Amino acid sequence: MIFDSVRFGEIEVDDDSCIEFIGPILGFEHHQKFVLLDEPEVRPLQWLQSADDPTLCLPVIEPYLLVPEYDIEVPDHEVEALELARAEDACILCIVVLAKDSDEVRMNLCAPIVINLCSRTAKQVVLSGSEQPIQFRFRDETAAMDMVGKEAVGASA
Amino acid sequence: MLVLKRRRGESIIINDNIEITFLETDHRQARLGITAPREVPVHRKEVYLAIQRENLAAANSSDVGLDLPRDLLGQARSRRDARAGEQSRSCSSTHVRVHDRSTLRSAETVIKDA
Repeated sequence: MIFDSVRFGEIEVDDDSCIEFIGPILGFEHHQKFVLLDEPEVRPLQWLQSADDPTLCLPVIEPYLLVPEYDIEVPDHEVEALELARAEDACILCIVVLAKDSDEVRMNLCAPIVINLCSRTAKQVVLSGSEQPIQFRFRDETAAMDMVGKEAVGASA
Repeated sequence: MLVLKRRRGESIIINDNIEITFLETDHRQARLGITAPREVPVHRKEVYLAIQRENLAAANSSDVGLDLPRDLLGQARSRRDARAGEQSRSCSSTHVRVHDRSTLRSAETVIKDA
């Protein structure tokens, strides 16, 4: 399929390289189809480009490359929803903010994107109850612990 | 907004499968118990909104910002290279060849070496 991207221009990708979001990227509920794009000069940063909206392109990165101690457990119901049979089928990416008006770079460790590499389905998974910060700042790591998500409400069946 | 009065221990049921129980109050706070199917996301609204805001901020990321994390990207690259020997599989992404943003680009799917 061919689609437009403000960042990359017109792009042609195989249909099976699209990623289908089965749970929304919060704030972008109407966008389900994305493709993961790679720009050599900023690797290993990647871009999650919406297939429907040329203007929607989110910088993402594998969090372990920047925060090696990042250790999370994807909740069982999310594993089921994504039909993840094996851990190695999962790819975890965190959304990065490159601030426009400051030199701030931050990463959302509280709501990573989990992709099933086999089925190419994905979800933004909110790690309720974890102490992972929504705004992990690289410039000032001590201020990174923005614990908005600290005591999220749990639900049980 | 539908407003209901509930006494301690009483609940409301939403859609046959979600139960919200009023547990107790302390002068300015109420404790609620929520029983819902696991696939129903339950979030504190401020957390939900904070994530939404952060996603919107990411979508507004600027290329100006791209000059800044070069050192971070350098670190990330060396970690990825260090990991290259391990069997872990990285995310397959579509690699876009960069020539000129105004022209059509061909993209190919690659499994990254990391």
